[in-house]
Amino acid sequence: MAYEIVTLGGKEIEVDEDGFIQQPALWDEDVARDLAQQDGIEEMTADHWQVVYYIRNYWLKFEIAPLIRRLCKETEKDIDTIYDLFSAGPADGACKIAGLPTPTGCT
Amino acid sequence: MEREKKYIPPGLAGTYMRRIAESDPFVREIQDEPSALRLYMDTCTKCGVCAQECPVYYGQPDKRMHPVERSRQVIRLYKKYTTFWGRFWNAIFPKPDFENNDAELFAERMYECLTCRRCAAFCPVGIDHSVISRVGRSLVDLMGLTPPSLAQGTHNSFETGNLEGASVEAFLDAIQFIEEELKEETGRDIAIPLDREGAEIFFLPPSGDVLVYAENLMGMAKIFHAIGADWTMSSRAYDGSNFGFTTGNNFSMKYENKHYIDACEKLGCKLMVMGECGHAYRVMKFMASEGQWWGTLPFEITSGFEYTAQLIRTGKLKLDPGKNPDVVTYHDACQFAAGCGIVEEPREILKATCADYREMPDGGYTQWCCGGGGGLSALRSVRAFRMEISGKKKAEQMRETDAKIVSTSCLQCRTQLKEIARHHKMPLQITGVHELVNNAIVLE
Repeated sequence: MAYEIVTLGGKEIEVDEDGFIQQPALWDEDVARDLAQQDGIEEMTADHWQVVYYIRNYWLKFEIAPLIRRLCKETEKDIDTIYDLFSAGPADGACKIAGLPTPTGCT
Repeated sequence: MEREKKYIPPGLAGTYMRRIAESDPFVREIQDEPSALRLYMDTCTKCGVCAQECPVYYGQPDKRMHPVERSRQVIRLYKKYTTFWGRFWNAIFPKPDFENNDAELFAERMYECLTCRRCAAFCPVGIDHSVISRVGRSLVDLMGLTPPSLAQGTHNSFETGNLEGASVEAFLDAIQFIEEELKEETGRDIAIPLDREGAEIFFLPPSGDVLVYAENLMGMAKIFHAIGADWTMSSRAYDGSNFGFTTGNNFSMKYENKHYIDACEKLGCKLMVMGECGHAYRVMKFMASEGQWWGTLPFEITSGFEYTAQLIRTGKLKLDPGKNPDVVTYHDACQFAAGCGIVEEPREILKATCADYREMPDGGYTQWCCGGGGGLSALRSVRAFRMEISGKKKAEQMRETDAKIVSTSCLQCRTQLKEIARHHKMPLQITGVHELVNNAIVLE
């Protein structure tokens, strides 16, 4: 697989063709802000960070994104709010900004 | 896996056949496919009836999206390598394998077919272009040009037994959460039994219904609880899906399938109930079981739809349609409707669980594909194609119905329909079928 090297948050990071970063260890808030800008999110609010950090911490524990139902429950947001925050949706938007590798599978 | 040995006669004819059989991996890929494939490739008259019915051609009526044009890319390889006259003329006037000698374009075009089998329903001689596209994809796989996210999925299936590549801990955590949710919703202890030997029913949902969405599994758990069924899931083989079927790689397809057959046999279950994944069900029921890939299986196979519909028919489930008051319509997933003939069962379930069920136009065996079939909805790289071209017809149809909820029986369809609804700004909710059962079921 060919990865592209781009500068995110002042660091050179490999990303795949869909824009997911391939070195999750290099992730920090600056990287997240730059990834968010690519998705058209001008400013990361407290709500954005809450979702991103919940996904990130869950991933650090289990190496997978949480169930959507769990994400909604624990961050006390319904799915529409998450779509309002991350227009690309929970997987392509929030997980990407949280620095997770590309999710595979049907969904 | 051992390749099947075919009878090769002695003498000159045998020498010719051996030369064809051993000449090239491309040729072997084509020869290993069912004979229907060669029949399709020999009989296609290129009349073009299929084009009028193809969702991709509907979205962009030009030469590139024409089903016959796409199949021709594979047929020319077949003729060149495996027919006498093709080999003869190629020896004199050699032709490149691909148009413009561009293998990447060939790969791209094979992933522009949704493998929905709508063409087969309308073709005057019954040619199923999805079979031809699938062989095209197997050649793409042979060249290592399968789109990375699909290749990663099959890789994960081999490594961890599920497409997401989740560990056992992650699975157990998800199950624990779902059990807590069931307790919160119903006030009862509804367990999801794992690895229970000697259970009667082995339940096998696609992994997305455990690791991404919880509602279908919750619905199924409530059904099993309501009838007091003796059921179990496996903590290692819980992914009833099949990406090998999509990528055209027969080896992947067979071994992704073997994985959960082994688990079911080991637990000694009598009935395998498969969740909402048409690919896995079609491979399991109509290929592995009937084709006896792994001998005669010691258990019965049924889909969740047939199972639930049967319970509703015999009056074993108590459902309250008032819990789903909105207008609901059903989108037939290609693999269930056109692939397995499961058309009536989901409708029976929805009519029993929803107050206002309405048909999608052209629903049933000859439904229009959502535009994300054949693994396309897992590909982010073709999103524009899915939204504007292959999904165009479905978007129009969804707008025609007054439905608030579109229910469907496949995770890939759900992803695609969700994206279409967002892209075309339709305020629709996309759900699974058992998700609505989950809302409506009354536990006594």
